[in-house]
Amino acid sequence: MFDFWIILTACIIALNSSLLGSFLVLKRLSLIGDALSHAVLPGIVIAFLISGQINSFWILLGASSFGIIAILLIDWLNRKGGFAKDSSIGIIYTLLFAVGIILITSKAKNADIDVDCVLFGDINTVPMVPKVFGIPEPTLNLMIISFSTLYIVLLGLKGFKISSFDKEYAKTLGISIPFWNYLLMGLSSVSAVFSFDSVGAIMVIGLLVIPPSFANLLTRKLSVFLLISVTFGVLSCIFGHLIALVLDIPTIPTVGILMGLILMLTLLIQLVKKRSSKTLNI
Amino acid sequence: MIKNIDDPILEVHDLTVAYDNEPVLWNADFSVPKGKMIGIVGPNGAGKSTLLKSIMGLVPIASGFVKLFNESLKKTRSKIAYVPQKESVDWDFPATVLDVVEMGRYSQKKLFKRLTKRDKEIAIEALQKVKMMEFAKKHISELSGGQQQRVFIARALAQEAEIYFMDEPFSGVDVNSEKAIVDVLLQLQKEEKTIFVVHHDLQSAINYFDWFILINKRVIASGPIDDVFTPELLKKTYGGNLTLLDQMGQVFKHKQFPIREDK
Repeated sequence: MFDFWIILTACIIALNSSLLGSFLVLKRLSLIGDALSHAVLPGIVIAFLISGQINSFWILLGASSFGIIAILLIDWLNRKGGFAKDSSIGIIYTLLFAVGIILITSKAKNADIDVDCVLFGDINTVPMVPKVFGIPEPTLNLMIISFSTLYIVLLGLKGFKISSFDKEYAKTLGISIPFWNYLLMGLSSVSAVFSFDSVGAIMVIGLLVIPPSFANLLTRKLSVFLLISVTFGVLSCIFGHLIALVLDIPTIPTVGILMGLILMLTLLIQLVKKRSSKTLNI
Repeated sequence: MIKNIDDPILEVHDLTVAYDNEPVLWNADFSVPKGKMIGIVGPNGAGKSTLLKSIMGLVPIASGFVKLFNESLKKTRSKIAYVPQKESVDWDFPATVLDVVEMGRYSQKKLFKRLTKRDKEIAIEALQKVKMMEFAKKHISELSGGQQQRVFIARALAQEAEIYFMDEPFSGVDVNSEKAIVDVLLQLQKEEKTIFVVHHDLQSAINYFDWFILINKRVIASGPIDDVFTPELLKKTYGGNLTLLDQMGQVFKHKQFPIREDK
């Protein structure tokens, strides 16, 4: 079933994730998406216990808050404890995920919170949900997040650039590193949580990492890098969905496979080219 | 031997810096006049880079204070430029040479605005000064170590500062780059800027600098070259390191025939 809203929602998620993912990859923080998908669990459970509803804006708010808490804790471990970024991410997300599990089993046993539901969303449910101003609610939320993200990133491109490239030097210019760091992480956290809800964590993690990595193969200029990353993410979603329709297979894994295959194929072509140019030189 | 100055451009008072409660710099106390080319010299792990970083506010200070132009760093930031060690960043970052040099024109206030035409001109002039103009559009990963160093120096020049702090600008650079960097330093000195350089090679140090800060966890000496660059003080700085004592012998042989013409 070809549906305008499915395509649009996927494209917005792709745009957001590959744009923010570009900076995460450059800062060697690409696994933050993975961490967020687990660390938000306590937020979901707590929001459910307070609101009593499973499908609500409160759940997303709870999840986003825990996303931000996770990021603050990871940053604290990294800076004050001297742990490497990847270790800090591992420590915090397992801790928060475990807290979430305990909360579910002890307090919310009869609620229908399935741990897997966070990990595997289903984009095909998008058109079925209630509409606001004629736009499905998740799509509208994502549109708002997407416009804000795009606006902030374009306006603050220099800040994201210098704080990712050389933060010590940036500090000597009087530029606040925590400001730019938390701005990027806060945007990523909110964007990721709202995207998990529609397409599931695996797809979001893929969109955070694969398009920027693909761009990294092709260019060494930041503006082109961001453009390639976003275009790759959005086109993969469109073509992934079309292929899935033709072959009658699920959309999300198709997009994942498509992105992974194109990335590896491009790398192989580059390696072969390099090799042949080397032999020519001899 | 610490020579104190009446109207210093940099005053470091009782500065102690510690990592994990282990002091790496003890009670540093010295002052430096305007317009000097200052070599910060000492053995490995003596706290040379730490001294620069603590002056630039990059590492927490355990005690003491630093004053630049008789003011705190916060008030004088725009007059001070820092050149970090080139190993401190990821050179695979997607940026061109000109992108990096333009960063010298950034500041917290200007981050949300476009760079002006003047900003861009200043960046290009800075690249010309380090003789890297033909690399402007190149990606930074394509540069040699010496060229990377020159890009960092151009970025600092673009700040149009009064004081420059450079961390090991001569380490791992080729002959061409070394010459280009020395030319830049001499030009800066002509413009009466004050330049601090962390340097590890005693033999060349004597040709470059007219003021020395000798450190080994403490400031052993600080003053003009003739008062400070003596066998006794260098021995005190480097301890009983035999190869270095040998190196020093050669240094003093050179000292009798200064390479600098204006001496």
